[in-house]
Amino acid sequence: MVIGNAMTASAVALNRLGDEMHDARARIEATLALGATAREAAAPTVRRALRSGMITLVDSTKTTGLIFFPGTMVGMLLAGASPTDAVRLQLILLYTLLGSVAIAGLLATNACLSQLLHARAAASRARRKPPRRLDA
Amino acid sequence: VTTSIDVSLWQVAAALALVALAAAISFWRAADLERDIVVATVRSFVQLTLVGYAIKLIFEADTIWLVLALLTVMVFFGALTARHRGREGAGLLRAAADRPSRWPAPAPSASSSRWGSSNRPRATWSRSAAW
Repeated sequence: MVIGNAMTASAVALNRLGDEMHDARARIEATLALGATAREAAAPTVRRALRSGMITLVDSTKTTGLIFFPGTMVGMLLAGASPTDAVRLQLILLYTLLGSVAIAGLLATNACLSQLLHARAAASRARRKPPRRLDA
Repeated sequence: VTTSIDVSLWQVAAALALVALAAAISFWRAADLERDIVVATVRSFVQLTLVGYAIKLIFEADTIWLVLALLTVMVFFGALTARHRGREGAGLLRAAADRPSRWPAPAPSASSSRWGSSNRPRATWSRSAAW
């Protein structure tokens, strides 16, 4: 469950990061032209990407027990465990999920960001380089 | 033979360290989720504790009416949550309808009955640009 949730969260965050970087390309380049570092220019984008990766789990954690009954707890109750133990185990699981999703989102956006920035730098370098003459 | 899993409150408290880590990451990256994370933690604790005992009672009572009541409550809260999300974009369509467009204007009766009269102040975009 922990790994699966981390996967979903980083997929959402990376998807959002790619889309936003694509859309905000002009803004990011303008910020760069004003003297910001690459990380500073991309910070709002990273913020939104990380947020969208985490917000699903945070929201579903808020409504746990009202609408959505977590499976571990129900399973333990059906098997005859005491509600105290079932609830406590489920809480540990929920909190672990929150932490893992945050870590996964942070690592994924960080790694992908440097990839995007380097790819962009490489692309602009390639654009600036004059075409190679074969006869020269 | 049932094996019981004993979970102490200390272990739950240890898991809270991960929540603190998540909140710290959110704060560090300015994801603006710290408050939501704290609310989610407290709410999940309270709700699960209450619901755990309620479900135990319902399982033991084993009557259809209690189950139906539980389902009703769940559907009610689900609808409430969904409604809350639907409100976030309220007024966006209306603002778009009020804006003068290059398309031929619809019949005045239709527009006034459906979207309100035109003497309402024209809505502006409520979300300012982020930066």
